Amino acid sequence: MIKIYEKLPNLLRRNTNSIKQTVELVLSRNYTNTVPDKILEKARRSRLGAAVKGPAVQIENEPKLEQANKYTEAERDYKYIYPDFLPNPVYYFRDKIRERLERNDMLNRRKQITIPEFYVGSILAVTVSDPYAPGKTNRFVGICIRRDDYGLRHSFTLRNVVDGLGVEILYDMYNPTIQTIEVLKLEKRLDDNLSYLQDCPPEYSTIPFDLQPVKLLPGMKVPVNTTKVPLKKKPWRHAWDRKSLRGVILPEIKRYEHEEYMQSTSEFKPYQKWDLMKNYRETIHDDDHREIIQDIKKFESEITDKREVITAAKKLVRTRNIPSENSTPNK
Amino acid sequence: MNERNNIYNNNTKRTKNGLLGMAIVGAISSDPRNYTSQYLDIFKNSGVPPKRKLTKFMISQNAVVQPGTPLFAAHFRVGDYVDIGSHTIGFGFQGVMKRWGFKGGPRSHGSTKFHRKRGSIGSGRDRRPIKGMKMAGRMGCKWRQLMGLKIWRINNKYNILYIQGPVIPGPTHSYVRINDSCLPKNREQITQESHPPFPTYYPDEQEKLPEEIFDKGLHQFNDSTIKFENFEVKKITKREGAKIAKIKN
Repeated sequence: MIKIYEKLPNLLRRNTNSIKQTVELVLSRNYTNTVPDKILEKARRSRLGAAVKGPAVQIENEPKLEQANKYTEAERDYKYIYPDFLPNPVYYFRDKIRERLERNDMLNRRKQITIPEFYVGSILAVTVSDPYAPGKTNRFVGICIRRDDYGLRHSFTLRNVVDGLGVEILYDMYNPTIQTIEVLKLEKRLDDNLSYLQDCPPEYSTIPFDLQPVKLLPGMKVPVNTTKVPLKKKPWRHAWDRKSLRGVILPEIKRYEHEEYMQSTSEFKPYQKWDLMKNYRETIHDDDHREIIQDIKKFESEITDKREVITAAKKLVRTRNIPSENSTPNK
Repeated sequence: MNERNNIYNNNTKRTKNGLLGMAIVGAISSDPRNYTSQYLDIFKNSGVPPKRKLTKFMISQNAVVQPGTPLFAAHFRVGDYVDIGSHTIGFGFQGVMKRWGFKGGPRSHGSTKFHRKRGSIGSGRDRRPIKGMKMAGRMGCKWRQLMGLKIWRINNKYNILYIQGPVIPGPTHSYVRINDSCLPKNREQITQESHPPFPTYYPDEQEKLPEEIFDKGLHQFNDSTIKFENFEVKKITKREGAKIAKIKN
């Protein structure tokens, strides 16, 4: 056995290209009639065959990335506040120019509506314009169960129990018919996906429509709700005991069921904790992070300019006795 | 006839414009050191760097374009209808349930080795399977065309078309062939008064295009939210002359 371990470093030194190729094949499936990503991005920046005049791709006007060696804590938190701006972890589905254009559309929409910061487990109230409703609007209150997809297709679902019937509604975040999104209670839960509430007693997902908003003091951290929800008797919609859920009280598992679970290779995967490549694929590269942060900072600066103008206008309205140069003191 | 109309037949007897020629269009210019001398001879007379991908379009003599002219997204207009063709995604060797959508067999109740199989191949009459029987095999990677898709939005800075459709065939970053649509209802909309730029769009320094062009019916993200204030709901009334059952004495 010792001889094999001595040989491995020599093999790795000779065949470094083969390892790179296997990694590339795994990440980029080879299809006919396609252009590899490296060649596409090179061609977009090159001067070969590019028309200098006219509405062709402009080479020099690419945004220059600010060199940020260290990110502040506020910038690192953007992935929690704006999770719709994160790129797809599957590199095969990504395109840089499409993400850039989608980001512009998303920020243009955010100037019309304030989309607040919320997490899975917080209680929201959404008003949507409905042509067939009496007041042409429709308001729904519920817990946010999950947030899916990336970019313009970002969506969230709200759950509530209405007249004894569980209701889950899926809202697209950048739907132009949404009028307001209010956060009635900002909080987090122990899981990222609360779809197990459908197999829990209905008390844990009922929310009154008259809920008053709970205000948090500025500077407070987002509170974490550590309630553990009990599950009803089986049958369940999904096998909640096989997913590593922390906010759930599981019933006793029988021995033969647990052995089945250990033998099933599709679900029992404790080794994923130590899978470095999987972790690498799901994290964002620093270059992507920089581009996203630049766009968000520009957007925030534009909004704060508007707010300063509005507050300054309010101050002018309040001051009625504007002092002039030749003012005499009151006698 | 100075119009742009899709010529989808090579037959010279049927064409209005007589003999047709072939226009070679290339995509993604690259390093000439990567190619053979025979391939580089194609690009000698045009003065253009060699391209990775070449296709051909049949055109009439009116629409001849000088070699080396770049093609932009402004070659099309917003509101035009378009045919798209490309190779679909390749799934490899797939079984009958994924390839044709068969139901397979039961998972339990005593079924022995019959969960994802096909079943019977034929009947006792012909004593052989019928031609065209659906079986397992290579799925995908075929040339498919979608007809009559509308362009809703154009981005002139990056030369991007926003096309409506259920799906555009092929994976991301695949080559795609775009034509003016050949369907008769879309060809009627092309007239001598209003037609897309013929033979192509030539850029002007004085008349520069806007960066983005939207269709009229499309909601831009700069606009305010949609509110149905002037929407009138049609009330359902009883039909006049409704058939009512009569009681016979």
